[in-house]
Amino acid sequence: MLSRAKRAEFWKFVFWIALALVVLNYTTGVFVYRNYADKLSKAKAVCKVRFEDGTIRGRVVIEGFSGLKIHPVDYQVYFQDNRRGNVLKLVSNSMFGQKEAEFVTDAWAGYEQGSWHAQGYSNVLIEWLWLKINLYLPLEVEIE
Amino acid sequence: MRKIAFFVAVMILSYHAFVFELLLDQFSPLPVSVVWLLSLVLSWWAGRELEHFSKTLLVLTVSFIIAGVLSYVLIGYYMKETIQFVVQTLTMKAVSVSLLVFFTSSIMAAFLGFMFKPRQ
Repeated sequence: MLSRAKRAEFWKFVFWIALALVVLNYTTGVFVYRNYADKLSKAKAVCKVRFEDGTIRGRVVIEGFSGLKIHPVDYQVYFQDNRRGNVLKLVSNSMFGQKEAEFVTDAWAGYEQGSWHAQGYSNVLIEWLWLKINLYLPLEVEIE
Repeated sequence: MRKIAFFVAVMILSYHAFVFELLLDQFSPLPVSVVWLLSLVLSWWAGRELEHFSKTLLVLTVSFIIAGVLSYVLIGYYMKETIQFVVQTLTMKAVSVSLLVFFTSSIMAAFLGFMFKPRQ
C-alpha cells in the first residue's frame, strides 16, 4: 500500500494527466478539422461537356486536392431537359482511382444544345493523416 | 473562492471539449468514450477537492451553462465551411441525449469523488 501522501500525489498526477489529454485532444481535433475543411474547400470536380453532331463528349477532372491523398471512385452526370426537367441521359462510370475520365455518348435527336441542362456528382475517397473519408463532390458541369 | 474559479474553468473546458468531441469525432485522436471517461475523472476531481457537495453542484451547473453557450457560439465560428458528412453526424437529437446522460453521469462521478475523499 502507498502512504497517504503518496496516494494524494498519485491522484493529483492522474487528474493533471486527464486535463492535459482533454486539452490536447480538443486542440488537435479543432486544428485538424480546420485544416481539412480548408483543404477541401479548394478542391473541386469539373466536367466539361461538348456537343458534336449527335454525340456528347465529356471530360471529368478532379483537381485541387493539394496535400491530400485521393482515390476517385466514380462519377454520375445527369442530362436534363431544360423546359420539363426530365432526365434525358444518365452517364456514370467508375474512375478507377484516376483523376481524369472521359466519356462519349449519343445525344437525343430533336433537342437543341441550349435545352440541355447537366448536373452530377463524383464519389471520392480521401485520405489524410488518420482520416479516411468517403465524400461526394458536386460536379461543376460546363457546357461548351 | 480561487478553488471554485479553478474548477469552474476546468469543468467549462471539460464540457466544451466533450461537445466538440461529439462533433469532431473522427478528426481528434482520442475516441469519444475515452474523452467521456477523462471528463468524468475531472468531475471526480471537482467533487474531491471542494469541501461541500453543494459547491461542486454549483460549479458543475454554472460551467455546464457557460460551456453550452460557448460551444454554441464557437460552432458557428469554427464550422462555417459545412462539409456534408459533418452535417450528417450533427443530429441534434443524438447530441442532446448524449449531453443529458453526460451531465448526469458527471454529477454522479463528482458525488462519488466527494463521498470517497480522504477525511481528517
